[in-house]
Amino acid sequence: MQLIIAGRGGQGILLMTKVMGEAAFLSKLPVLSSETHGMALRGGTVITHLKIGPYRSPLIPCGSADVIIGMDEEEAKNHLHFIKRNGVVIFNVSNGSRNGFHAIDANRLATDLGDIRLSNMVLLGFAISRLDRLLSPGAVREAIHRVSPGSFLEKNLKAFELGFEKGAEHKKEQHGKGDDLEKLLFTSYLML
Amino acid sequence: MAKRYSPFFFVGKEREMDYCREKIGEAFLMGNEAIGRALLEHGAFCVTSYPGTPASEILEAVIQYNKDEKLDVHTEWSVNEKAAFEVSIGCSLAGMRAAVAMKQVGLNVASDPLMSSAYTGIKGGFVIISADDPGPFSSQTEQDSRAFASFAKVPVFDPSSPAEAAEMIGEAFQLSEAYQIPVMVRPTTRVCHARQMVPLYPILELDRKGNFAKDPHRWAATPRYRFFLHQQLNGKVREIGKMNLRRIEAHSSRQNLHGLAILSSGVAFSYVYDVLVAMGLLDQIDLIKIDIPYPIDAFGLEDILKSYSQVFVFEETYPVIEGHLLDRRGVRGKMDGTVPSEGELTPDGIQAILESFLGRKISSEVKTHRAKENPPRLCPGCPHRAAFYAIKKALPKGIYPSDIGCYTLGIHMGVVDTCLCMGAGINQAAGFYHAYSNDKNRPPIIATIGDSTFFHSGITALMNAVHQGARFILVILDNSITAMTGGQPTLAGIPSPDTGMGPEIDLMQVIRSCGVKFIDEIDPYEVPLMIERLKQAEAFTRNEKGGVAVIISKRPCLMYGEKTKRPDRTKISIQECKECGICMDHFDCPAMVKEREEPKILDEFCTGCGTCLHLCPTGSIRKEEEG
Repeated sequence: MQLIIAGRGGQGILLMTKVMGEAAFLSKLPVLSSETHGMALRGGTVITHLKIGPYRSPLIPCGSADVIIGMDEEEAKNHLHFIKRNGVVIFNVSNGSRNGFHAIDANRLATDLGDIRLSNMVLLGFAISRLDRLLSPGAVREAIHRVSPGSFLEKNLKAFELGFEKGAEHKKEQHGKGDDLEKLLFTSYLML
Repeated sequence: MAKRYSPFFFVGKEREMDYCREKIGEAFLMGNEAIGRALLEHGAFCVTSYPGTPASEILEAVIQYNKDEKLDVHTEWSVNEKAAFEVSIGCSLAGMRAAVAMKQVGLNVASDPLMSSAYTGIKGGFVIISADDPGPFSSQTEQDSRAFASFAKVPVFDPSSPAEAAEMIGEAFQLSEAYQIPVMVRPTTRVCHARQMVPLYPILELDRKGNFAKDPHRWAATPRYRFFLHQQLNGKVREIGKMNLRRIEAHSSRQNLHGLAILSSGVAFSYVYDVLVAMGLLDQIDLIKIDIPYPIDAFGLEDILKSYSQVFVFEETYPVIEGHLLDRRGVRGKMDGTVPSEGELTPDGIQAILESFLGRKISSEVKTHRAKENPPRLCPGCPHRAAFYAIKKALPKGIYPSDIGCYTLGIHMGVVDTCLCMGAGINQAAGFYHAYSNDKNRPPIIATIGDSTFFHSGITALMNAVHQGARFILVILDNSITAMTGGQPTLAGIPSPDTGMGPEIDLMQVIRSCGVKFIDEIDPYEVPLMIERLKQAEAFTRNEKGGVAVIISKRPCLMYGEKTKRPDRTKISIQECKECGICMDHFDCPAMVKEREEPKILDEFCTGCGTCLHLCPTGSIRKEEEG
């Protein structure tokens, strides 16, 4: 299972990746990730690679990511060359008009919670509602406990739950309409 | 089950280690965290560093574990890499284990003690961690520290993953003490900033006390004795190079099905491994891992490789291993152009090279695609932006030498003309002055440098400029922290638990004692005042008795200062815009965007710094009245 998480510096990409990695680690899955630091963190493009499975290389080759999670639409699109055929893109749409199966207006939901910086956790919750066969929500909650800075723990959990609920709602609505992600996850899961 | 720790299996002078290692758990760690932890697991008593991507988190991790485990290890963010190196060497000479961490260009700054300490050798284990940045992502060069190690004649380990980096720290200490030689560990960005499961071992506190054994012919050797030290050094390198062969041999399977061997080291080895798995060739091609790219006994290596008709070499970034190959017929690597000589290696790139060699169809759909990337920018409300804006407004036709830090991003505002290396901006400004000194129409010269960079290597430059009679303005962008690398403390600034134990260094006093006659400290948010003082400073540089003028632009970084937002935050918006475009083209503020052709201030990003109120020529950027 190979995931690309893309966005801009300041959007909480690193925390999101760390949570997912830690959750995989807690689930006793072999996991590798790779991050961007330094110059790239001042609002520039930030991309992380997260690989769950028996890999050695921390980088995902072009055309082989199962999932791309984009903290903004533009960055998700900029990294589409990573996605494999039948791969899935989950992203944050700011204007809300494209609120569909794999898109959620995490910025607005986070702002409703009182802090736009929580949008990463909202999107994470939304993504996990899709990826729950790979990473259980329980493991992700435990990971959030482990990596959140003290003052942010409660807020992060709340944001995660909100995203997860929204995802579950959409999932129900979409049920039976050829859920490509479910199939994909199932085959990837068998490979672990 | 406790195991006697002796991973360095080929050390001839095999010694029983005086400590046991028993795994106590595991954690999901970043490469730099794993390295920091490993330093403490192997008894480091002193760890020093100067921040720089991708190495900064190494000392951060040591500081964290030091605190969590209530240890008494000396840690310091030194003023620069040379100081960091020499402090740790001092500790080593007193018999303690010590380590210094830096980025690859930091090793340039520390190269003087590196070259010399290879000759004198060390006492307590001494490990240099120099993190390379192939790409480059956050550096001015893609230089290869392994080539530096071979230039200095010190052994170098090249880890392929975070867990291996941790393991190699222990081996490096052991090798260092066995041969009394500094040893380098060279991770790259993809090891430093990768995360994986890393086994944890207990922290080790060695039962040692400072015990310096005087030996002037070694520690203070004159050139006559240096000759003998060089002889000794060459002997050590020969011996280690020979023993390295046993390790290389142990890593080669000698299946030789295709007559093809791949030599690889560092993270490139991990890429090759996964690529061979994906291509179904792992058990057909001999993949030989090189843990120690220098020294290698070249004749012995030739013996190991003579049964292969083709040898591929994948390594980052310079052909260091390839350089050891005496017979280059049948060798494919960077020297014959098979492997690119610049940029980082990627799994895709390696796969395409192997597929093309084996006559297969290139599978990767996008071979050389590089994603369109959004460039980094100064944060909204950044004090540097305000200072840059004032400089541009006060002296628009200037030459603007600059330096290394967040403020290099002033390039987007057209106020950064040069960025060479740490501290160079001030010297370059002097050079520009001398180039124009006979010209009546000399343009204004305004150099910018951050506070951390000024302490690092700007002070000697300033002294030199003053003494040599140069005339220019120096603006020290003092945000009280090393911001670009994640907020490490400087010698004077925002206090943090990892600030030095001694008193702060008074920046103003330092500048005064460099002989500067025009000094002022201004809050850059006071834009009109800043503009006025810059004009006065420029006049001073042209006075009969003038010289270098220094303005300290002082305001703490918003990311690390006490308050991230001003409590009296005013809402700022754009009304009745005349669409002149100045704000969008010259200000580069992430809080300003164009929506449907109209500029707009995004309230959620705006910090209310108010600098842009001075920017709009038509007065359309306004404070929103309350109520």
